[in-house]
Amino acid sequence: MDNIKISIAKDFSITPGPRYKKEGPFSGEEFKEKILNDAFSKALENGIKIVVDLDGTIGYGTSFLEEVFGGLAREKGIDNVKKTIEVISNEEKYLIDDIDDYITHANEKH
Amino acid sequence: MTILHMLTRNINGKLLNIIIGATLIAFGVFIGFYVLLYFITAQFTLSSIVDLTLDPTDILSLLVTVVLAVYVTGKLSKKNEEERAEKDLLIEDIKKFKDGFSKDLNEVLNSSVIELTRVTATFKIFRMKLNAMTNLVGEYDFREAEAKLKSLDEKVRDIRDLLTDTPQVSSTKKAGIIISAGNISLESETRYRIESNINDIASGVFGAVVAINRN
Repeated sequence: MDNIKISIAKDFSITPGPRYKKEGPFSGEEFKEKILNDAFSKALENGIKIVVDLDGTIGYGTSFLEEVFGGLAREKGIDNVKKTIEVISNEEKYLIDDIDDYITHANEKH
Repeated sequence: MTILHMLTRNINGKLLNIIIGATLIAFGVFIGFYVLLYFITAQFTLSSIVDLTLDPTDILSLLVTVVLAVYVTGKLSKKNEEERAEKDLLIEDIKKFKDGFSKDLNEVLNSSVIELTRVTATFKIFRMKLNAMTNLVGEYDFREAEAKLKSLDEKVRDIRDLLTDTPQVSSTKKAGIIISAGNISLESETRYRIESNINDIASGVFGAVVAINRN
């Protein structure tokens, strides 16, 4: 089975928003609910990866990324997320390190 | 490609400076010594110490020395000009980044409504520019300046965090910002911390410029 590919710009929004749905549209919470959670369960079941492409949006706020990746790690486990999620970004390669940080420190109060 | 060009191509600018300086000084001291002796004492004539027989080998050696001095000086001067031009271009880029970042960020902060998407777009552009500049500076071996620009990226990221990071629901941390309907409201302490980081960026840029000039 092939890896699951998700492009935030194409599959969700080119204007990613805040952390929670109550804070505004296209939040990290909304992205997890609508797209990532199901894909993650499927990937974990089948032993495949999810490749998340960050390119093509106008930019990301810290809490969107922290809620998506750090939040997923809090719900599903840091090790599970690290072995299942692969992040790619040609436009902003430094975001990959930022996201790794959010996952690693997911269980610290933020 | 001439032999002289091949010889001087890979020599560092500073080393060339030293070589040519030493050559010219030695040559000047040699000429000056005999001219001085000639004028100091009437009894001392050049012919008493210098064999005035013209040896073709000596003339050739002298000519080669003079040609080498002129050629290397010319090459060195061109190399120094090129290095100066590279430094000036990098410095201008860094200063433009700083001025643009301060201006755009202050416009955002002084807006009546601070839109989250406008903030994220601003920071995407500036982090990309800063990273491109850092890579360029690194390619030209300005290592100290490269390190300073990398620390600037941390400051830019800190400001982005201050403007776009709301705490988790379970957190007891005091919110520095509140986001509602995609718009940001800043606490005054957060605004102060952002301005402090902007000042740190200005200092960091100054440090990077000094490092490039010193290289």
